Amino acid sequence: MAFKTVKRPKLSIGERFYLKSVLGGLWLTLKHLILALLGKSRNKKDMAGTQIGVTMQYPETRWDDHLPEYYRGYPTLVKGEDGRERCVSCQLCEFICPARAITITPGEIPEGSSWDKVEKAPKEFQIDMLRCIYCGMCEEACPEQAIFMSQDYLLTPMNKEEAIHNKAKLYELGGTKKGLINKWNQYK
Amino acid sequence: MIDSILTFCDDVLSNPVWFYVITLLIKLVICFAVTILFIPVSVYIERRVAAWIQDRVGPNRAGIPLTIFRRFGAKSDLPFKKTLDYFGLPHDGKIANICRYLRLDKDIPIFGLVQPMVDGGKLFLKQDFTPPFVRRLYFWIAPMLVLAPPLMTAAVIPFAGDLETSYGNVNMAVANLSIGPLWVFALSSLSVYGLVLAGWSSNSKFPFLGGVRSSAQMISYEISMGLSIIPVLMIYGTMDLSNIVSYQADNGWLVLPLWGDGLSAERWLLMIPVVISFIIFLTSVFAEANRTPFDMSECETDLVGGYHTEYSSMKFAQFFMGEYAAMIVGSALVITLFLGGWSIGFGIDAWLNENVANWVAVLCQFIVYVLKLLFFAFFFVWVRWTLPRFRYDQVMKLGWLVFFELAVINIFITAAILYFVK
Amino acid sequence: MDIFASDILFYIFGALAVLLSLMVVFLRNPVSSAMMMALSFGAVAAIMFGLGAHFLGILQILVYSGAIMVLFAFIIMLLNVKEESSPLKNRWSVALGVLIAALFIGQLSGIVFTLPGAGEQCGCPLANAEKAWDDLQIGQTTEKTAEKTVCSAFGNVVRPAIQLPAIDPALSAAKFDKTSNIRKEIDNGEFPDTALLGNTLYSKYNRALVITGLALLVASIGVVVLSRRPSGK
Repeated sequence: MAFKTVKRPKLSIGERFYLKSVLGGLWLTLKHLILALLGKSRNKKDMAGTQIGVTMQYPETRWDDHLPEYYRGYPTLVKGEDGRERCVSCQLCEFICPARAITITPGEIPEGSSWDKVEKAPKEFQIDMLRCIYCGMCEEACPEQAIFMSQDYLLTPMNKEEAIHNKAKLYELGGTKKGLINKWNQYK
Repeated sequence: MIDSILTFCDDVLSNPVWFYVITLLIKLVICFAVTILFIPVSVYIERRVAAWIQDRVGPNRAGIPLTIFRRFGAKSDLPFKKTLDYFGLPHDGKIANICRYLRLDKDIPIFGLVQPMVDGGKLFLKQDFTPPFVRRLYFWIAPMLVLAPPLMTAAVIPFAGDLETSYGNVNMAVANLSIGPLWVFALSSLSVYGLVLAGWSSNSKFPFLGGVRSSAQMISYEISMGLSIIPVLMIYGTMDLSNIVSYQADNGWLVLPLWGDGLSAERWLLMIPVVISFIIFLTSVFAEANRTPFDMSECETDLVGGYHTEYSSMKFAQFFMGEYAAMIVGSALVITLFLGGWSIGFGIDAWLNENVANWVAVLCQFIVYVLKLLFFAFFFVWVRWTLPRFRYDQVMKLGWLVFFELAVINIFITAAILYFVK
Repeated sequence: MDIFASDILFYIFGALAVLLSLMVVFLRNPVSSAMMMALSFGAVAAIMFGLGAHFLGILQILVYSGAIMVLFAFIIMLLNVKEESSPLKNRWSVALGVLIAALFIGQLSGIVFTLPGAGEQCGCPLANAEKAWDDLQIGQTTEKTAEKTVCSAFGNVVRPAIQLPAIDPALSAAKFDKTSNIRKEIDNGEFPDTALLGNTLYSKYNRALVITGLALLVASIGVVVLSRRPSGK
């Protein structure tokens, strides 16, 4: 048989009134409450709790050191060591973005520029942070290692225009990243 | 001038009718102030205790904003430093440190007590949206019908002992009816209309189910509630709540007979039915107030939001105020019937009456009454975070198959004890 | 003739009760009718309060508005009864209704005119009620003056129309034991309506009460038996 019949436990008369278990439960929560008030909650140290309970007082106490490597903050665009903007405006991130937060206006690199064999670069690159869901798919999709999820999460726009990150803002946030594969060097 | 005013007051108060009207108005104000103020206070207690039980801090961010001092300094910077600069004080001087110790450098939190005020303000300012498909008249009346009955029931509950004035004694219940507990039951049974009408007039599925559930549940538990206090009234021999409380003050609380006549064998034998009544009554109060573990009518997992799903803004808030008011009045009744009402207990009342001025005794009794209410506000939250919500058929089974029978048997036990043991 | 606040309140609530009962019949929406009925129960309860019968008044609210009408409203909402189309379809049913109503009114007026104190020429029904109290033999009124009853309890001050008959201890002692609660309350100048009602029900009408109780018990068991599905299905 695919299923097993579990027998309900036979309760004695005392247990069937549930009074004892209700009182026991009340005592348990009361104990927990008193421990929290005395500042002796479990896991308090691990959670960097400062006052009652395990709560970390967020704006005053932050946990940035404990952020894992794979933490996904807001998406940024990066420049290579050579100072070239790595995005080639292939628009893969725009297509994969499940929230449709990314809008890319492709542009061409003019002839005679040192990187003219790359041919394309974004004229404008906008990420609507009100739509972004921090899923990191753009980073996964990017064939050029141009877009990265940063470790920062503090983002407080004061109006809607501020919430839309344009190209300049994205590069400012991302900065320069070292150790990336240099695909477009002069030998290729 | 002052003399003439005083003689006028004296004349007015000497007239028994005027004296009655004036004291009644004062009592009304006190009674309503206590009940209405207890609503935000119990909301605060609810949030705070819930947080403590869950290892959190609770409301601590809302405070009196220091940003109003921003006009002393630049807009974007910390107001504290700019304020110090404005008065020419050093940044780490003594005054600054004292202010920092008192947490005056940021917003002043006052234990998060600003939170209920801010919550209330928010509810007033939110958009009041009436869906187009509702039955408008009843949709508007329903929240009022939920809030009004509990506020009216508070009128019969005495909140202190008799106050002796030179013009006559003042009974500290707004309406000292000879049918106190029945008045509370009758009016709290009317608040079902609010829930049912809200569910029906919302004209959508889940609110309707919530209304149906709540009406069935409240009618069921009213029965066990009414039956469970019959033994208590048999013991007291009166339904006058003031007499009940003064009896308890002299002879021991009903569930704690430790002084006066309470030490007799009969009272201790009566503890068996009293404790049964106490448990049934307390549980029924939870059910009547629609509190967890009996909040079947607003059980989110089954019913989205229950009968108030379609409500918004202050109309929604009224439902919650009604729930909290019912909770407060219910606990006030439990206190009055079982836990000695305003009496301080352990013979202190008699001592106070002999040794202290009457008004001091009355004030002490009022404070004790409020403290008992505060304990019950805590108790409700405590139970909420301990016991899981019942399933609906379990609620009905408990009400009809356990409490109803138990309450009826309890009446016979009490009658037998009262008849045979003397 | 003296006019007291309680008299005015009596007429207000009486008019309200009649008006609300008429609205129960004439409103088309069943839910509104149910609500009006609950309100009219409330008005009747208010009249009872005015007569000093607190217990009966509160029972009116507790049982009728609080429980029975809720069940009515519950069922109306559950069945989602639409608005009544034409109430006067069948002439025979109308005639039957009128006949029953006429019989009921006849019986009611018969009772009203044979009530103790009904023959007296008195302007206010409350005064009649006061007369009726004499027949309850709580005590005998020797002289009806306001000075006698004022001041002991507030109740007497606000309701000057319902001045309690002065208590003659010798007469009440004949009816109630000196240690009984009823006697104590009467001596205090209160009107122990709950205790008196209980006393009458459990002594004079004891048999009828027990039989009614049994009939109700049988009825409720019958409902449970009928509404339960036979087992095995």
